Amino acid sequence: MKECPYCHHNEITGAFFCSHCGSRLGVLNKLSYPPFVTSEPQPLPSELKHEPDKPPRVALEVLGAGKVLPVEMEGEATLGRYNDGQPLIPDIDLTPFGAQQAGVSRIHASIIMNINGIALVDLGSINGTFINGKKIEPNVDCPLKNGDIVSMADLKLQIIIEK
Amino acid sequence: MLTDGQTYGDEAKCLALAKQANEQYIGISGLGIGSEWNDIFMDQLVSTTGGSSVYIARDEDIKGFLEHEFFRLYQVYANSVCYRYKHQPGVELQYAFRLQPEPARLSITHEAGEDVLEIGSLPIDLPLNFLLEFLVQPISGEVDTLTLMDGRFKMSILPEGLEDYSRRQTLELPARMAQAGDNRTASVPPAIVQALSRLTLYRMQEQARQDLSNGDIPQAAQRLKSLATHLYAHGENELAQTALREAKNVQQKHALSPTGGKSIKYGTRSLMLPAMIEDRKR
Repeated sequence: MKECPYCHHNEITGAFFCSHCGSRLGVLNKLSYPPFVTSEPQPLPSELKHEPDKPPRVALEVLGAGKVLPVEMEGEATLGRYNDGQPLIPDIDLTPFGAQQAGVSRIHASIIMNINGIALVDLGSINGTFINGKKIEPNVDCPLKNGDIVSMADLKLQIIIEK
Repeated sequence: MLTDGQTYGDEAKCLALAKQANEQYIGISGLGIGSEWNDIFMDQLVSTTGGSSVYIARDEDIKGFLEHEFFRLYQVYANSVCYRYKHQPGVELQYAFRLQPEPARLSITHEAGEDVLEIGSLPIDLPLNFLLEFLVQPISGEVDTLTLMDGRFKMSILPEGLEDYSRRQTLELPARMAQAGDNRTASVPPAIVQALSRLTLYRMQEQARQDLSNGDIPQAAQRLKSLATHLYAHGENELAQTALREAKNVQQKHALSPTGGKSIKYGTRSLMLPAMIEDRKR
């Protein structure tokens, strides 16, 4: 089973979207096959010695506001804005930085960590998401590096990644 | 079929007639006018023949619909396309939805020991796209390939003089890639991701209706509010407002309004039209 990070509804392994609240479950442009087989393969000797790397620290600087927002990377952090009564709340609420006037959607984009590092995913926002001026495809994870400028509609953020 | 969608206790007869029509390669598309017609029954009826239903809120939209429908009929290469397959152990087809040429949920029936997926008509110049959702039970490590479907496409290709054309087609999954701990991944085409994202919205309204029929009012209202949030995020403000209004209706009157319920259903379904998905990509 897979738990929805937003409403904690349990979905079957392999589901792409939560059937309860409609939120996206994980990274969609990389299909990870469900574990059909119950027996676990034996780890390789090299894997036994391997210690996992510490995850990088990620933050966003809201350009023009001079404010740095730390990003808690527990798999995924959604970016957007909040209106009263909205049932799905983004992890990082950009409302105080003029997100509504700038055209940011309620659930606009998310920052994720995948096997290649930190990436940004546009979640089908109406006004689009750009990395260094280049528009990204919705629902496709696009790699981010330290110093990248992310535009969510007219709101600009700089990515800070500390390894 | 131009109808108010109301029946008078003869639903079973209507369905039997639709089935008979389908056997004679006659497809049925429904045009419901006004707000009082029974859209659930209409969908059931037309999906028996692989057709689809449309909601017309205003009289002036009828002409446009009929023009589109007649044009579509000119573009048909094969009629009554269906896929007949034998049930595979541990594999269940849970949901089937046609994206193109016209978005509609596809019906899965059981007939003479086989499952039948009614697909509709095959256009001349357009691809026929549909999404299938399977629930697969755990399989043993010795299996290399998992057969999801093994059956035959059947259709009537009248321009070729083939009334009962059939072609075998299997759908398999490489089970070896599915073993636990296998880090290999495969790219999912963005078009499929987009379609799934839209289909989720349509299914949320289906589930809100299901919640209502189960008497779970808070769940139905919550689902409609979540749907509204996603619709706002996709820029579908008018539809989002309708979903919020209907959430309120559900809380206060324990029912969807006839117009609002249909607007959400057909509105979310129209988001899956290829043109809509292409627009969003641009």
